[in-house]
Amino acid sequence: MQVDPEVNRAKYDREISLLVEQQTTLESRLIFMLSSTAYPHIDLLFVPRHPVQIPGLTTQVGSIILAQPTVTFTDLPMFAGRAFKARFDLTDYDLRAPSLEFRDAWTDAELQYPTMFRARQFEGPGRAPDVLLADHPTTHKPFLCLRGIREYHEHPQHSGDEWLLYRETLNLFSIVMSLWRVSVDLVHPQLNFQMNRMQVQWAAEEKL
Amino acid sequence: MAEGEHKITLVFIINGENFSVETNINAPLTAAVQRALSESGNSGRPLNEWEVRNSAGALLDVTRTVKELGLTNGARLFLSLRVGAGG
Repeated sequence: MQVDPEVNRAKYDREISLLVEQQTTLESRLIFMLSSTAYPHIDLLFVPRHPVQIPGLTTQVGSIILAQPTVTFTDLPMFAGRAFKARFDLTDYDLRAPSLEFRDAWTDAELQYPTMFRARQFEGPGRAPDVLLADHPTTHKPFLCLRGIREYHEHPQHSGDEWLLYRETLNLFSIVMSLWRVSVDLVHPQLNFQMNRMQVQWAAEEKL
Repeated sequence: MAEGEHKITLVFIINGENFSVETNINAPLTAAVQRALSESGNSGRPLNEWEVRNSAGALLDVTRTVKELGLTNGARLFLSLRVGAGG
């Protein structure tokens, strides 16, 4: 451990306090701090927001152009993605950014990328890159590739984008809100039926 | 309209802390954002690195006036650093 344990504990407690102060805000987004939270970890439950969507074809008829079928998506309100647990590790915080791993809300098992939700950062029309990636070169676990997350700042490809550049302007509350936005608020799970299989894709849409 | 009717208070939540800023409804939201960042000690990064969302999570255009955005007295706005896409 690089940070004095007393200092680290004080900073951990401070982050907990801020989350508690904003409990109403978090709960309005169905983000809940779990009782498994214990130093140096903070466990939060994230509940999906948007129902699964299924595709359907509609026909638009124009006066000159022949009818062109287009794909539209309809909500299946009885189905949604699964809730998940986000475990933040504040060891060495805030010399190092919080580490984040994803766990099953029921069993506490680490989530496996092929069957996980997806997270996307909306950047503009037609541009919403995946920010939940499969295999971190050091941890070999799925990781969230956003500033404020240890796995981002300590990824070899981001060596110039140090956490210390952001630690004065990012804290756990803002990081939690970012995680919620890219993994719950802006993404819609959609079923895509193909010849002999079904795929789940995650569409991202900014709220304006 | 009386002068006081032009002014409302917006509550900016920055990193989990509340900062109340009084602003003229005819001023662009940028002005209130800059004051909120200054009061919260977050003046070190350019304004375009921050984004403002309302309570519903909708992204706000800070170049528009408070009145145009339909913001009312006591509106809670979330001011956060853009965290970008690492990829």
